[in-house]
Amino acid sequence: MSEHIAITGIAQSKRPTDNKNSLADLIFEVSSEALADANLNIDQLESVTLAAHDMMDGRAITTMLNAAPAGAYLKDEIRVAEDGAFALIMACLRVLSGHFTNSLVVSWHRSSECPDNTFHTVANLSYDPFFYRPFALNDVTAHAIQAQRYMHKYGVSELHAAQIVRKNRSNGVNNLLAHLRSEVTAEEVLKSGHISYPLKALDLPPLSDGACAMVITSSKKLKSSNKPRAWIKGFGWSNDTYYSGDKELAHLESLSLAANQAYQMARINNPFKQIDVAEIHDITSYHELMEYEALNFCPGGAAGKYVDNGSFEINGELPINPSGGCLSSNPYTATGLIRVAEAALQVTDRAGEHQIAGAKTALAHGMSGLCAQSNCLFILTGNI
Amino acid sequence: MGQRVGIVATGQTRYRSKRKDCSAPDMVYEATSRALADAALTLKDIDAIIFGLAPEALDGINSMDKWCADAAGARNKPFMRVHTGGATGSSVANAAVYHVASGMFDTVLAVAMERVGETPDAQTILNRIYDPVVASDFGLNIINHVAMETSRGMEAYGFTEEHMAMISVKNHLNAFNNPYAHLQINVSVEDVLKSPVVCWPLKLLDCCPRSDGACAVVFASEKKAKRMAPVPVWVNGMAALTDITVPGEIRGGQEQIRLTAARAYQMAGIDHPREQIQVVECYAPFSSLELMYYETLGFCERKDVVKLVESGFGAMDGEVPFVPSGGVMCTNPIGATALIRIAEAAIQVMGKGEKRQVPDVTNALATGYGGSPGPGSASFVTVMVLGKK
Amino acid sequence: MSDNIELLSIPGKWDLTYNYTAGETISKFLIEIRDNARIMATKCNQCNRVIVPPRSYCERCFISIKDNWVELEPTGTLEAYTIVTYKFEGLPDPPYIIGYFRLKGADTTIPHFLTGIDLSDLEFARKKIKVGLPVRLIFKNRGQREGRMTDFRIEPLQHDR
Repeated sequence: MSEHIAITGIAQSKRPTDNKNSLADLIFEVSSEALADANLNIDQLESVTLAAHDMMDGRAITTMLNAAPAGAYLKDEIRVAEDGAFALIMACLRVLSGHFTNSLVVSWHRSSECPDNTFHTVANLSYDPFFYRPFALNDVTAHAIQAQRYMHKYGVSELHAAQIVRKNRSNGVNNLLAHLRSEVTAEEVLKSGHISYPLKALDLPPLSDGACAMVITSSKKLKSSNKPRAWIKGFGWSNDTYYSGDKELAHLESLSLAANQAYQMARINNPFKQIDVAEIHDITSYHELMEYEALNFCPGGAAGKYVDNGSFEINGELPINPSGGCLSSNPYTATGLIRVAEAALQVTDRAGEHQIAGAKTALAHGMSGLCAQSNCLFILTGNI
Repeated sequence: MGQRVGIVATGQTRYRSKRKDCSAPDMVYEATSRALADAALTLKDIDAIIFGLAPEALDGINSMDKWCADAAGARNKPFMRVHTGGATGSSVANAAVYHVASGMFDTVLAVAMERVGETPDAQTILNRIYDPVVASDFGLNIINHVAMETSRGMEAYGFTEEHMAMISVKNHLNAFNNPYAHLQINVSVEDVLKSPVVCWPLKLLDCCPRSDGACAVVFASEKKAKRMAPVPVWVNGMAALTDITVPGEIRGGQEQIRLTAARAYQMAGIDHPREQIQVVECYAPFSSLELMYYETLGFCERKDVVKLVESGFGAMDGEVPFVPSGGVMCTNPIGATALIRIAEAAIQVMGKGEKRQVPDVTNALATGYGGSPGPGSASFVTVMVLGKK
Repeated sequence: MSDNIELLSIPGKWDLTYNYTAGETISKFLIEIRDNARIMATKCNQCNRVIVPPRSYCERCFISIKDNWVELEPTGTLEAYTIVTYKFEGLPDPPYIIGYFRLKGADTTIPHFLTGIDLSDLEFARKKIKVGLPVRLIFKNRGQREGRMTDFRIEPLQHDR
C-alpha cells in the first residue's frame, strides 16, 4: 500500500436496541460516537461510505433516508449494497486513491422492522425467478444444502457444528454488546430441533437490530496521539459464481481468493501461527468450519479435528469470534463491519471482558450474498 | 491525487421498454462483451468489477447483482455493487476510478443496469423511497417532486411550458442519431404541449420513458490506458455531493449541482466552462431539469437561461450541444443511466460518436442525479469532467 | 437463432410486511397530533433551524437535538405543489394535489395533500393555487385520530369556493 490506513474511531450500537430510537436515530448514535472516538469534527470529515440493503430495510432507497444521520450532509458519500465490511473496502480505496484522507463508514440493519418471515422471503427473492426461486431456497435452506454437502465431503459431524455454537454463545456472554448473552451446551444445540437438515434452530444466528460505524484516517493526516490505533495491513475480496449448483459448495472459493490477496498484502504466510485472533462470519455454525479451511487456518477437511483439539476456543491457539460472532448477534448488513470493529478493538486492547491478552494481529471477515458468494477480509495490527 | 485514470472502452445494449429477448444476465453480458470488444480486451485483462443497480424493487429480484455477477465476468474476481439511486451509474464510475487510482488494480470494469420494464409502474416503487412514517402517505413519487421543482423553476427562471417543449423536441431529434436510444420518435413543440398532463406542468413528452438496458465502461491506469486505447479519455475532474435539502425550495437541488460542478471543475482546471467544454451529457430525465443545468453547470447566468434555450444553445449545431445521445429523456434504465452519460461523454472525446459526434471535443462533461428531496431525505449529485489531455 | 421464438415472462408480486419503528422523537410528534392536535418540532440551538417532521439530530451541525421541542401553529404556506392527473398503481385516484407546506416558524417543509380546492375544472384550480398560498391544518376529531400524518388535512386559509 502506498500509505497506511488507521482505524481511528469505532462505535457499535448498545444492547438492547429498544424502540426509543428510530433507525435514523440508531445510525446517528453510532456515527456521532465514532467521530467522537476519532476526535474528528464533522467539518473535518471528507468521505462517507455506507453499506445497506433496501429490501431488508423496507425502504426503496434506504440511504436516501439514512445518509443524513450518517453524517453525509454536503459530503462525498457513496453506498455499497453489500455486507458492511465492503463499505470499509470502498473507504480504503477512496483513501488510497488520494482523493480523501479520511472516511466515516457506517452500516446497519434493524431486524425488528423486518420480521423473520419477510427476511426469509426477501432472501428467497434474491434468487432468479426461473431456476432457483421456485424451489424454496432462502438463507436457511440454501445454507443447509451447503452444510450437508460439507458434512458429506469431509465427514464432519453435527456435533462439530454444535461445538461451534457452544463456543460462540459462550464467548458472547462476555460481550456486553452482544444480542444473545446466554450459554448453550452442544447437547442443547443437537436437540434444538431441525429447521432444515442438518441445520437446527441453534445452528442459525438470531436476527438482531444494530449499527456499526468506523472512522479511518490516512497516516498522512494522522496527528500523533497516545491513543492505540488499529492499522489496516491488508485486505482482499472476491466473488464466486451465483449458480450454487455449479460450484463445490464445501469450498468457499471466493473466501480463499480474498484471503490470498489480504495475506499477500499483509505478508502472512502461516495464518494459524501469525494471527492472534479472528472475527469471522459464522452465518451458520457449519460455515465457521468451512471458513477455517478457506482461510487456511487448517488443511481442507481438517476443521473437525481442530475443533476436537480446542484450537479455536477462547483459550486456544487461535481464538475465533471472542465477541460471540453472528451466532450471538446478527444485524444482517452490519455484521461484517462489526467483525472488523471487534478485531480492531482486540489489537488495541479495548475489547474489555472478551479481550484476548496480547493480541497483536487480527483477522476480520465479511460476507455478502447467499452460499458465501462474496467475501472480504481484513488483516489488522496494533502497530504500524 | 493517486495515479491518473483513463477510460479505454464503452459498451451499451440496445435500450427498450422491455427487452423481451433477454434475461437480466444476458443484458449485462451484452454490455460487458461489447465494452471488452471496443478495446479488443478479454476478461483476463479485467482485474475487478464494480456493478451498479438501483432499487431492486424495480427489477423484482433482491440483490440482483449476485445473479448477474457471472455475466459481468466476476467469477473469482473482486466484485461489489454500488447503489445511490439515480446516481448509481456515475457512483459506479467513481468507484472504478478509486479502484484504479488506489494502485491496487490496473484495469477495472464498471457495469450498470436496470430492468425497469419488469414492474408495471415504477412510480409505485418510487413512492417507497420516502420516509415510511411521515411522508409516504401522500402519493409522493419522483414525477410529482420534479413537477413541484419545475413549477418553482418557472417562477425563478422565467421559463414556460413552451421552453420545456423546445428541449424535448431537441432531445427526441438527437435520439435518432443514437443507435442505442430507446425512444426514437418525431416530436413537435405542439405535440409536447398537447401530450397528456402527468403532473402539471409536466406533460408526458416532458418525461423520460422507463427502459431496460445495461452499460459498461472500462477504466485503466495511465500506463495501460495508453496501450489499450488509441484515444484514452482522462478523468480529469470528478465530484460527488450528498445534500439534504428542504423539499419545495428551488435553492436546494440547484445549489447542490452548482457546488458539485465547482469541485469537479477545480480538479480539472476548468474556469470558463462555456469556452472549455464542448459537449455535455447531463442527467435530465425531465425537460425542465435540462434547462436549469445551463445555469448550474456554469454556462450562463440564471437570467440568460431562457435566451439560450430560444437561441438553440444546446442543439447539435448550437454553441455547446447538450445530450447528443438524446439523453435521459429518451432512455432511462435507472441504475445504468448515469453511467450512460459518462460512456456517451467518453465516446465524444474518443471521436466515436458517428452521427451524434460533436466536432473537435477536447473536454466533455457528464453528470448524475439520484435520490430526491423529501423530509430528511438525501439527494446525490455527481459531476465528471473527461478530457483528451 | 430463430427470429420467431415465443418470448415468455412469468408473473411476480411482492407483498411484504414491515414494521417501521417511529422511535421516541417521531412517536412524541405523532402522539401530540393524536392526543392534543398539536404540531411539535425539534429545534437546533446551534443553527437555529426548526425541523418538522422532527428529527432527533441536526444533520448540518451533527448534534443531537432530541429534547429541544417547540410547538408550531397549525398554519403555514404552500411552497411547491403539483396536480396529479395520472393514475399510478397503488397511489390515490387522480386528480389530487400534493404540496410541500412550510408551517409558520419552521425551516423545513412537510408533504401533504392540499384539499378544499375544487378540482372539477383543473385550469380554474391551477389559477387559484400559488406558491405562498396561506393554509391551515384541520385535525380530525379526537376519537378518529390514530397518530398518523393523515390525522389532519390541509386546506387554503381563505375559503372562497
